Amino acid sequence: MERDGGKTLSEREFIIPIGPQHPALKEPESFLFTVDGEVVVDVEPRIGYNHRGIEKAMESRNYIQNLYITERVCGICSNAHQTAYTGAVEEVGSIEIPERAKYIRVFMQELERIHSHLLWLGVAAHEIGFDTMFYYVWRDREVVMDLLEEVSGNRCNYAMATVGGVRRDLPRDKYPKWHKMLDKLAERTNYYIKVASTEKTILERAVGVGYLGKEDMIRLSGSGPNARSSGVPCDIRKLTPYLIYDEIPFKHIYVDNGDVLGQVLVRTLEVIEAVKICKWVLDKIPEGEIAVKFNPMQRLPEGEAVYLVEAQRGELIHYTISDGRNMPYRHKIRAPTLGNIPSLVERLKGGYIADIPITIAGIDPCFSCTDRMAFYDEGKDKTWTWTDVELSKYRKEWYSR
Amino acid sequence: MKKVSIEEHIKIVEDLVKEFGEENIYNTKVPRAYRAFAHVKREKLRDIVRYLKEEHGFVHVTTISGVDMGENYEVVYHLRSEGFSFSLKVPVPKDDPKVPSIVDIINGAVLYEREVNDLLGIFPEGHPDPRRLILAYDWPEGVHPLRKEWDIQTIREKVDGKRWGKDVE
Amino acid sequence: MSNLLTTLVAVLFFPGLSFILTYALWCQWVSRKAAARLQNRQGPLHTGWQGILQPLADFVKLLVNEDITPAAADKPVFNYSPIAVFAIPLAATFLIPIQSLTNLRGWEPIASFEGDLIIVLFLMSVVILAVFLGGWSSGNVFGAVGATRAALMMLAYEIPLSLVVVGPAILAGSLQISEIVDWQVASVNAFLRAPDIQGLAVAAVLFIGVVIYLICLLAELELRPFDISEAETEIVHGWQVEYSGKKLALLNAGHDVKMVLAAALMTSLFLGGPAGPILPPFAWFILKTTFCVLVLTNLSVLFARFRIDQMVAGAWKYLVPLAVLQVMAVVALSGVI
Repeated sequence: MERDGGKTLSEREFIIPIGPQHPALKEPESFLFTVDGEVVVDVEPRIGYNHRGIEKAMESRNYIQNLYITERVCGICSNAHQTAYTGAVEEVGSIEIPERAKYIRVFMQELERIHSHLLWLGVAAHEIGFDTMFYYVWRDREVVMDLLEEVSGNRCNYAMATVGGVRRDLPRDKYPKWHKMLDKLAERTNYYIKVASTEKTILERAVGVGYLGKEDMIRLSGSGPNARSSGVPCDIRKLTPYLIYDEIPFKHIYVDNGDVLGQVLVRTLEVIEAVKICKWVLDKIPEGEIAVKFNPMQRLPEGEAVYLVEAQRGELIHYTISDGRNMPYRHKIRAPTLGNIPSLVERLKGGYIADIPITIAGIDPCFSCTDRMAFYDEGKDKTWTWTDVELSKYRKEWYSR
Repeated sequence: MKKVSIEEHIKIVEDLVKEFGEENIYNTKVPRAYRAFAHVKREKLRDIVRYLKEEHGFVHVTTISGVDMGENYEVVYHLRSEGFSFSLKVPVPKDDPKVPSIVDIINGAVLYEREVNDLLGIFPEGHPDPRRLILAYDWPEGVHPLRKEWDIQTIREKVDGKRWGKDVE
Repeated sequence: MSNLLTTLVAVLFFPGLSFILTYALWCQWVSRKAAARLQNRQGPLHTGWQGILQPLADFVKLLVNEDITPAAADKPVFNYSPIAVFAIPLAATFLIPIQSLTNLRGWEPIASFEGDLIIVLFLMSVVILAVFLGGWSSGNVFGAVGATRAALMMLAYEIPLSLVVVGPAILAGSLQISEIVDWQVASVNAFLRAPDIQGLAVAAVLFIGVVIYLICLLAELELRPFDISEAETEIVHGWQVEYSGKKLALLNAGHDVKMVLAAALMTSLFLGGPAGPILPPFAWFILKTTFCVLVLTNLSVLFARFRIDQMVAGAWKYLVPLAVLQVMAVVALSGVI
């Protein structure tokens, strides 16, 4: 198969490969850019460098084992995947989870949103060459990381949700301290909103960059902050509420800038809302059990369920089909990034080479999520079973080609 | 936020059945508010998607899943209008694994159809660019990992020419 | 004989080759450490006191590293351009007055002649030519893009840079750097004896020149917000992308030497060169150039990177007219004085 699709180029055009290895991409992914001077003419995305075969693997493991696989679809949105997975399984099995568990799941989800959005803000600053802001944001992000560690014991992959509830309780005596940490986060985020919307060099690189209008965004089925920055009100938490999101008062944030600045604004404002939600949860959380019993060997009735979650990066769907065994017949995951790639391609066209990194980073891509489908895992399986001799033989063969 | 009751969603599904007839859209179910499932004849898929888009605002495709159901394949189109997620299931016979492409109706489906083509070998007819998307460039033709007949060892034999893993002595 | 010996010592050790190289490493450390502290980091910490030997360690480590020449590269050009990038600014520093070996309170460049300012400016531009050839010959797309950007940037900042440098030269009535330094010392002394309005006016006009000069230097040294030609997140270090091992070590050393040259030129033209009370000239030279490096570092951490089109447009819209105005003001002033 031709890597560049056998494209014919005019005299002035040439192809720039961004990826699979590139400093602007934190994960391996390939974009082939046809450029004319400094202007991008065409983009061809090629995904699939992170195959781990999660969907196939899930078909041969029971519902509790799958919990840990779904969490490892992605490091940043691990909790979103777990929320969606447990939600889908509970819907198939008609399992009612305790109220307190719902509150704790929401709390974790919003903490994760704060951490992910702040991480993104730092990365975005780095992509436009503003390293100072990158270091400052990531320093302040440590507050939410500490909070997550205190709640769950881990900085990522929190392992909080389980089928039937959550695994850890929130100890009540810690709430005042957590309130203080959340206040600090809100204060710092407000400062960054001010910086991002007034600092001249940031505006030069953010306003009008990677523009995509509302109609195009709807046409290309974008979701998440990517779509909300183009004025599409598409927050799943508002549209099809899950857990207790229909009781929580929070703003549906969308702006109609359509450019990178819009994405910065949507994400930072969402951090503020997420802090408010976390504080609301800490105030209103009811007493009670945190989980109902679920046996790992338990069979679920035949059925299917679609569970939609507003992950940090957009709409996340887990679609599970049960055939009455103790493992799913088919479990489909579609992470937000895959859904945002068509709109990303539109955003990139007509832009400058210099704006490629920030435009790609703008949708907060997570290619580990995107690539979870196939299952042929070269790296991991082979190093597992290969001896040194086999490895060196493979290396020799590789280099003698 | 306006509260949407399950009745409204049932009404949409019933309207669809009335429009296209029970032989073309069957096995409908609305398990709860915001969710609906239905089987759809392959020939009528494009008409139904267009009708849903124009009449009920289903402009967003969440994803397209492919499932190997044993005697046939099923391609599941998860469409969404506001919060209402409607899953249209299209049975595809195994000896003719093709579906009509809906890219020209809902542009957002462009990558999902390629994904299904890669992983289950169900070809989207009329897709503007049906090349390989996810599998590696040197992946053998005709190996579609999410089909149930392919397990890990058979694929390894096909790809590497030998078996890998713990059960090899 | 002793004259020859003095010249040899001056060229090879002080204030020539060895001194400049050591000083370049010092400047790198100062710049890295200052940037780190401004960004709330620690910076180099482990090699020597506060990591002061880290630049040297990096240099040695790169010398040891594997040196790869890509098969697609145009080999002679690719191999020789790092030497040019290193040697040309080094040669230019010989024209800057630092310290006289025979007279503790005197200063004289290793080489000095009428018009050496033009030579320094010429050498600074030639470096970009070497950069362009190196990037273009590497056979890499990113290298080619980076090289084009470096050339484009030169078109933008070279003209205002040359214009503002001419300012002090007109006032001093000479194109010789040491004469310009002498003129500054003389006029500062005169001003201290009898402060007058003309002196203040000259200082104000020259201050505008310093500002323009600093902005151009940020571009010349490929510092933020003008590190467009080597933007890491966009084009993976641009024109340097294929360089490794010894060649990369030379490129990095060349960058540091260029930083020293730029700071030294700024010191000589605007800050009174190595002159100053009590301390010997070379100490004043170190103090003043380190100050320049700190200013450059501070500016470079304050901003996000510009795009190449924004940078070129900005330079032609604002910097060039401002530089022309500044030169006109200088000419008018020199008529008054």
